[in-house]
Formats: sequence, structure tokens, C-alpha cells
Amino acid sequence: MRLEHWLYTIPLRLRSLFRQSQVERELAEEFEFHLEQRIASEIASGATPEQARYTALQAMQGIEQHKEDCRDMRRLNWVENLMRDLQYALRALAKTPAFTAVTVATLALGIGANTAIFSFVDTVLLKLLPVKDPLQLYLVAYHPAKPHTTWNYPDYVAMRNHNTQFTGLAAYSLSLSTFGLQTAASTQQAAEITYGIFVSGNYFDVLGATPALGRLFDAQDDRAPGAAPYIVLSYSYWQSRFSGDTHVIGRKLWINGYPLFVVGVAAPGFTGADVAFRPDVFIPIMMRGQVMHFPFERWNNRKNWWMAIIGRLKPGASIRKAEGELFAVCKDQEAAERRTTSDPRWISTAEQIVLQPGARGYSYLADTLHKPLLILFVIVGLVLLIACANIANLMLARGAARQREIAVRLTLGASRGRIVSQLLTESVLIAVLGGLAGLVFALLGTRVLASFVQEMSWAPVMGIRAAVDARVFGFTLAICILTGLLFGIAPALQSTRPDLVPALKEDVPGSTGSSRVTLRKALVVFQVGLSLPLLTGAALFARTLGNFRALELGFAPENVLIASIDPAQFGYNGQRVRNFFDHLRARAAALPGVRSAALAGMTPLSGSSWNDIIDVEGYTWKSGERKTAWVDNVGPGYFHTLGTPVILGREFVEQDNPTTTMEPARLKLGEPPPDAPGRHVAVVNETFARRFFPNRSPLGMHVHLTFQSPTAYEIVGVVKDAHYYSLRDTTQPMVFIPIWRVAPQSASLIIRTTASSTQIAPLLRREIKALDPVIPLRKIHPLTEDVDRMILIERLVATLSAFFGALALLLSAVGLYGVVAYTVTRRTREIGIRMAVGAARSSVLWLVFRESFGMILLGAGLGAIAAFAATRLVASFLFGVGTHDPLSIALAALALAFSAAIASLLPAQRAARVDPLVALRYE
Amino acid sequence: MSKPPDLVQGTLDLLLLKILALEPQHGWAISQRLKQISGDVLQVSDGSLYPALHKLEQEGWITAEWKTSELGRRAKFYSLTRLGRRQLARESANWDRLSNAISQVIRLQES
Repeated sequence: MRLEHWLYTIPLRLRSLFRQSQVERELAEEFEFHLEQRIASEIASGATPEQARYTALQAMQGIEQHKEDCRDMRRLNWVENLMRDLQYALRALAKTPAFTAVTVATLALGIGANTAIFSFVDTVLLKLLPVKDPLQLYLVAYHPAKPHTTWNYPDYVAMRNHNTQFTGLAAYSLSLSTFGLQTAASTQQAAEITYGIFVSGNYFDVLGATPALGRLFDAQDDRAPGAAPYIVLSYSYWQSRFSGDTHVIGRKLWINGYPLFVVGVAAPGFTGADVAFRPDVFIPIMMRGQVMHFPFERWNNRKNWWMAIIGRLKPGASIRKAEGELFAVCKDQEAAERRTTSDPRWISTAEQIVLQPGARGYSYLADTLHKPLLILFVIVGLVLLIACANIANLMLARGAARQREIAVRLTLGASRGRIVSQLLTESVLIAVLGGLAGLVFALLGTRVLASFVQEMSWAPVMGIRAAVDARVFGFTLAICILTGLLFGIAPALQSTRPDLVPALKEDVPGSTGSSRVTLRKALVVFQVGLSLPLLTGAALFARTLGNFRALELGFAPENVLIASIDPAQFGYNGQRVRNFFDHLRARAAALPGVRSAALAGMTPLSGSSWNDIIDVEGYTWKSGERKTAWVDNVGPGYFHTLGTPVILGREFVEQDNPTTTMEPARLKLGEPPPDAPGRHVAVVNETFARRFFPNRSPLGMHVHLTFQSPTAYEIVGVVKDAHYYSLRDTTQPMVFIPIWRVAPQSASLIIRTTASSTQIAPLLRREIKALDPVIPLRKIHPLTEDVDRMILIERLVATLSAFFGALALLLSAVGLYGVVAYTVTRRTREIGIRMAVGAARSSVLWLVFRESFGMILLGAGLGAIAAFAATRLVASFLFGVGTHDPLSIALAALALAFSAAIASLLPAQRAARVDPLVALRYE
Repeated sequence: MSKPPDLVQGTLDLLLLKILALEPQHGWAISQRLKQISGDVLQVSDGSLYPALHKLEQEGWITAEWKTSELGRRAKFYSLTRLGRRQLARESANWDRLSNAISQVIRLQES
């Protein structure tokens, strides 16, 4: 029925739209025919031709009106009108190129900024994983606030095998592993760096991923440790590293020296369940022991927490029930462990299981961007509003210029609605033009944002990729139309007010514009009111950044490079690791331009952490006091190289290391490690010394690290406090022990040099190659990079808020200038009279300034209230400055006042130069 | 749109559909036929006939075709579509119900 209706009507509509002239002709012909028939019939009944024609026309009563009614019946008028309005708008814009350029440029910045931020908001917060039915995916977490939960292998297996609500539960390593890749078995060829994750056999199946080539893993690959020597490549890695060669299937690749067969390539676009990682390779969990030289027995326990669990709920499954089942499994696991372990301190217990929606994937990196992105989104939204106010202001001025034209059209019978819709068409057209120009700006903006985000990541395959795609384009278009209506509606209604028709009779410019001026002033107040919170925010963030920069770090990061090398990847352990690093350090120290070199288990602000439960000689714990301290193992010359002053005693020397080296294989989880003989010495930081030895020197006193060694360490030195974990926290007690007191696994080489990392890297590679040709230099980076990364979000927000604050200031100043200049023109006669009766130029200047300062004051007052309320939302981003920082608000107000003064100066001067004679004749 | 004041709202559509159900007609012939069969009681001003026809055409109830008239002149002939026939049946039924109801009420007052 409906279909049949369209069958008849659609061709008609199309015809009226595209064959308009023919339809018009037919309409005329139809009426003409009727008229002729009528005339003929009148003549037939005896009338003269003239009479007949008169009667016929009489009977028709206004042919044109009837024709218009027929056109209305076609119901296509709005399309025709729109076309006509668009043509008209284009012509009108072309006639005022300056206006068009300014408005389009303003909008390009405003809309472009919104587009750029939105593309990231979309990627981080909105976009679903590119997998099958992502809404069915859930991450298994043990805390509602932490979707970033890690699990151990036995718990995963138990949960996978005992649940009824999931079609499958998959596991994958939560962090990216750095592998050394070789394409042939060789002890001479250096390994390439490649990044990958370990996945359970059902990983691809649960995510609904398909192969582009070969096969992906399946449950068979979970059978036994070491029994699935396979590897799957990501599509992009297959393309870039193997040039898309289909013969790669079945080829052997040596990962960390262990051979794996390539069985497949994942579909293009598939990057796993973490939006911030794009792993090159996927390896079965069952191969973790072989590839990482970390036997299955050592990680198949409830001590090693390293993987994420993601599941696909069955359609109609209950989340609550699934949580309950998994929690029961965890409790069983715990109880089983309790029966076999002697030391209950080592048993991890889960308090609850929470299923977190996994449709958007989870990523720590993306998570840290949530709040800053939302703040930036608000900022660019405000800037766009300010831009809208500015353009509305310009449109009002333009409306004044077109007042007569509009009045004429109203008088000639055009309906107000038609004229309003025409003016709105014009503003939406401006907005769309601005949006198109804004896309260019947005591309630039996304690149700036991407470079910030890239700094957060330590690997090239990490980071958030945001592209200006169809979704973003749709958002931009919606924003364009919205802004077009927003800045167009007030001016359109204003300039078509019926009481403006008298404008026709008068010729004095602006004589009817008093309500227009009020509106324009209100817009400026609005702009200023929005600018103040933006500027306050920019000031707060700038001061925060300044405070971070001025922070005493406790070490001198300039001219320090950190090199990561991981010989354990290639099966080194125990004495071999120690020898490797000791030799490498000696060689590095001898390189040209290197002042000193040292080893450390962990470097400051690297993101790693280690703490232990301690006991301190002669110190009684207060009730409720946390008995923990941070620990690091460092080599001789570490504090000297890092630039941390030794306040008391000495730092470590070679002799502080034990003479025999512990083999990691002999370590048993759940028990303190066997102790290497020799004198146990430690260095502590100032906070440690102050806290535990407030009245005496700590030198010679002992500290016991519960899980590190049964022997207590004698304190031989005190070093200055340094920020190891975050720049925000106050320093905690910290204990340093000699580097090889810890069973050697991996270490970082710290080099103090005036050379850059790119200069040192090849020299260092040569030294590594001399020690072992296979081992790659994983990474070398300046320590300042780690410091910068800690305040990356703050830098991002500070930089962008400063930029947008300046933009807001500029827009407000332009808006103010426009209004002040306009009122000066309007008041030329008044000013002339004042001057004629003896007003001084200074009082005329004051007249103008008073007006603009009035607007600024009102706007700033309202803005200050808004800023007061809003800055609390950004409290977590501030450092060393309160949310209600009077100085920041004062700075913002000062900037506004200054720009207002500049914006009013030109019109004020013009007012003061008014010649009374000319002004009085002015008309 | 100017409506014939002497016609009950919606009845013009019904009359036009009914006339076209008999045979395809052009506008002039429709207006003549209307006058003729209603015995000059129902008068539709010449001009307001056309918007009504155009509306019916847009609804898909009638369709138009340019043909040569009896006098050898090109004219726009309207004819009923299948949809229009259905619509006519519906509107006739409505009209019957309405006029019956009104007659009942009027008779009630007389007794």
C-alpha cells in the first residue's frame, strides 16, 4: 500500500525537482486550456469575444494565486527554496569577501579544534573494537575501579573451564613484550626488535578474529607447555616486514633464539583487545617458557600475575551470575593454595569479581587520556561558543547594513519565516565552509595530539591512532549545522523584527539599532564571561607546569642516557648476565665523550617499582605505620652518574657486590632467596634516615628486607631524596642495595655524556656486538624523556589550553572592538555635540573606555563565578597551586582588561578626533 | 489555498474522484460535469479546481496524461489509479455513514 503510494509519487516529486521548467510550462498550459474553453463556451452562449474573455478571467479569480496553490500541492517548495536560498547566500557572501574570510577563518579554527579533539575522544572513549559483536565482550576484573586487572595462569585455566555464561574466556599478556627476532638460526646475526603478546589458544576465536592468510590459534595450542611452536603475524607487520609475501606461512622465525613456525596472518585492522597496542606478533601462552627462558613451572602458579582475561558472554547470559561463578572459582583456587603453602602472606585473595564492558577494549594508555581529553573537549567547545558569539556579532553588524534590503522585502510581502530561513541558510553555509576549512586545521591538530600521545608510549607500535574518518566527518558536519543555527538565529530574528520596517523611511544609519546594540553588548559580555574561565584554566595549568619544572628531582637528568639491553632474553642468567653487564659498563665508560657509566636494576621515573616489608634496627613501629620501603639495586658509581648527592657516608663500590652470583633458577617463589655470602651493605635516602633515625646517624645501623634476604643490611651511606615513582608524591623511605645482591636478570646502563643518544647508540651497539653479536640494543633514551613523560598530560593540557586561551582572548578582543567601533559611529553626533559644548578630548576617550570596561567588568565578573565553580573539576591536574588560585584569576582578568584596552583604543581615538562641525552636519 | 466555501471539507476530493471514476477527463470537462450532474447546486470556482486536482495527483490517487482533446487541442487528462479507486470506496463509505447519521438526527427533531 505504502509502496504503491511511493510508486506514483516519487517520479512526480523528482519531476517537479529536476524538470522544473517543464512542470511550470505544463501548469501554464493547463490553465490556458481552461481559459480558452471557458471563452469558447461564453462566445457560444452569445457573448462578444471581449466580454467572454472578461467573464472567463473573472471566474478564475487570480490565476497566479491558484498556480501558487498548485505549486504548494507539490510539496517541494522547501527544496526549491533551499536551492534558491543557497544561491542567494553564495552571492551575498561573495559580495562581502572580508566578512566571509574572517568568519570562515574563525570557524575553521573553532570547528577544526573540535574535530581534532573529537577524533581522539572517539578513538579513546567511543569507538568499539573492530571485532565481531564487541558488545558481548567483558573484561574480568577483581575491582570495579580497575579494569586494568592482571591474572595468573592457573586461575585463568580454572575460570575458563568452570563457567556457564561465556561462550569463551580468553587470556593475553597485558603488556607488550619486546622480542628479538631472527630469520635464521645464527649466533652472528643481530636480532631485530619486534613487539608481541602471548595469547591463549582461543584468543582469536573469542574475539571473533579471522585470518587473512593461513590459520590462527585454537584450543589445541593450549594443550601442553612448549607444544605449540607457532606464531601469528599481524597484517601490518606482515606487510611491512615481509612485504606481504604469502610464502611466509610455514617459515621458521627465531624469537629470542627459539624457532617458531608462522601459521597465519591476522585480518587487516585486527590489533587485539588493547586499543593502544598494535602487536607485531602473537605467540601461544604455552610457548612463554621457551621464548622468555622462563620455565612453565615458574609461572604456572598464583604468584605470577601478568595477563588479562576477556570473555564473550552468551546471548542472554547474566552478568551477575557470571561474576558469581568466576568468584567461586577464585575462592576454590585460593583454598587449594592455602592447603599447600606454609606462608599465608603470599596468598593472593580476590574480594570480588567484576565484569567490565570490553567492547571498547581496555588500555592503560587510553585510560590515562580519558580525563584530559574531556577537559580539552570542554575547552574547544567553549572556544567554539566564543567564536559563535563573535560571528553572531558580525552578522548583527551585517544585518544593520542590510536592514533596508530586508525591510523592502518584508514590505513587499515576503513572510518573516522565509527571510529568517534564508538568513539561516546563509549562516549554515558559512559554518559549513568554516567546517571544511576546519578539516585542514583538524588534520594538523590531530598530528600535534598524536605526537604528544606517542611520547607516552615506549614502543613504536604503541599509541592512539586517530584519523579523520567518516564518523569524525559526520560529527563535524553536525557541529557545522548546529553552530550555523546557533550564531545565525539571533541575528536573523533581530534583523527581521517587524518594527524595523520603519527603517525604510529613515536614512540615519543605525538609528533603530538600540536593541541591536544591547544584543551585541550581551554577546561581548558572554564572550568575556567564557574567556575568563579559559584563561584562568590556562594560567592554572601554566603555573602547574612551572611548578613541575622547578621541582627538585634529586638527580640531574640532563646529559644522562639510559640504555636497555636484555641478554636474559637469549637465555643468559646468573653469572653470564653479571659478566655481560659488568663488561658492557666498563666498555661504555671508556667510550669517547662518556663521563661515567653505571648499572641499575631500575632507574628513576621509569615506571617500574619494587617495595619490601622492612625492619629497622632500633626502631619501634607505631601502630598502623606501614612497614614498607621502596627498594632498588644499583651498581658502583650509580649516584655519581645520576647526579644524586651523597650526604653521608659513601656510595657502593665493586667490593660491595657478592663474590658468588645467585642463579635465578634456584630461586623459589614463596620463600626468601638463598643468600650469597659477604658483607651486606645498603644506602638509604634522606627520608629514610629522618624517619627512622631522627636523632642519630644511620651509618652502621641495620635494615632488614623481609623478602630479599635473611641477612640484615648495614647502612653505609645516605643520599639526597629523589623522585623515583611520580613527581607529585612526596618521597618515601627508600633502600638501595648493591646490584648483584639480586639474582641478575636484567639491568639498565646509565651513561652520563654530553653526546646525544643518536651519537652514542652506534658506539654502544658495537660494544654489545663485541660481547654477543645476537643481542640487540633494545632502546636508548635520555633520562629527560622519562621526566617529560611523567608530566606529559600536564604539558598537553597546558600547551593546548594556553593556545585556546589566547584564541579566546583574541576573539573576545575582536568582538569588543567591533561593538565599540559601532557605538562610536552611532554616537558621532552626540560626541560632536559634547565637544561643541566644551567637552575635553580626554572625557570623550573616557566615554568610550567606560563603555568597554563596563562590558569587560560584567563579563569577567560572571566568568569569575564560572571559573570558581569549574576549576574544581581540574583539581587532579594541578600541582602546587590551589583550584581557587586568586593569582590565576587575577592574571586572566588582567589579560582581558589589557586586550580590552587595546581593542577600545582605536575607536576611542577616532571618537576623540571627531570634528564637532563635521559631526553635526553628519547625516 | 482558497477553498470553495459552499462545499463540506473533503467532499470536493470525493466528487472529483467519483467523476474521474466514470472516465478520464481534463480540468475544464470536470468542472462542467460537476455543475451539470449536481444541477448547478455544487459550484466550484474555476481556479480552485486545479490545486485540488494537483493534490490528488500528489497523493497518487489520480494520474495525469497529456492527450489531444475532442477539439484537437492538447489537454491534461486525469484518470483514477488503483489507489484512487480504493480511496474513493473509502470516502464514499465515510460519506454514506456521515449523511445517514445526519439524516437520522434531522428526522429525530421532526418527530
